[in-house]
Amino acid sequence: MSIRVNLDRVLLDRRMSLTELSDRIGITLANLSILKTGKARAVRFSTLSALCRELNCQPADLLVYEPEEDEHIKAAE
Amino acid sequence: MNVETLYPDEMATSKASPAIGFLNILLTIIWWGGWVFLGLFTLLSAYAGLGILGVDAVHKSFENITPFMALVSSVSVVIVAAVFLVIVKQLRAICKTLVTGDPFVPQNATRLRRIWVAVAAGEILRLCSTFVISRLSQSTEEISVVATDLRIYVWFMVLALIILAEVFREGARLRQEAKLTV
Repeated sequence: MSIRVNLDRVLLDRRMSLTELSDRIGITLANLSILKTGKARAVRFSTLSALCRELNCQPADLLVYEPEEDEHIKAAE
Repeated sequence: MNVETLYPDEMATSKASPAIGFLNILLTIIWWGGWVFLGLFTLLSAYAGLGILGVDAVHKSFENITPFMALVSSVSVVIVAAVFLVIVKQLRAICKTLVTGDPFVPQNATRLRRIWVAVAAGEILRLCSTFVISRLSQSTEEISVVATDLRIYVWFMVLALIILAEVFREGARLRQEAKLTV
């Protein structure tokens, strides 16, 4: 996936655990783990909004676009 | 990938309907009945085999048909019973996923594929055995029956099962995507 989730870095900066965040935004720890490990296929705006609210950040702090190798090749062509 | 359900509360409240429980019991009865049927016709095949080998008492017990024809007939019934058991086995597995409340799993698409393959194979084998029996009976009338004995509704059922299998495959993919949506 070319979208990377920076949740662990933001959590580290805020000195907040995943369990604490899970309690605050009401999303299960399992689903937050899916998001953190980059296994998620999609993120709801409501989830993103809750994350930004509790972590006091912008969506761009959480999500980073990183083109994959084949995308680089396609762009060069 | 084993992922916890996205809506645990919703899943907890969705209990299997009584109809599914009834179907489960019915399929279990059919499953064991099928095994009894298969066993009986396997014994009959063995009996006809003894007739071919020349066991006199057995040979005399076949009045209107030869032991070879009896063997072909009973073997074809055994094959059809085996195909039937394969289908029932897949249906039981699908029913189990219904009971657990999550039928849209990739395994069910595979099970439906096995069912249509079994139905198609069973129908082809039935056509072959009917052809062999009619050839053995030396009746031109029966051979002409074989030529027109293509059961269109069976092949239509195979087509419907192929479509259902593909629908389940797509359903399982969408379900997986929903599970991975946070």
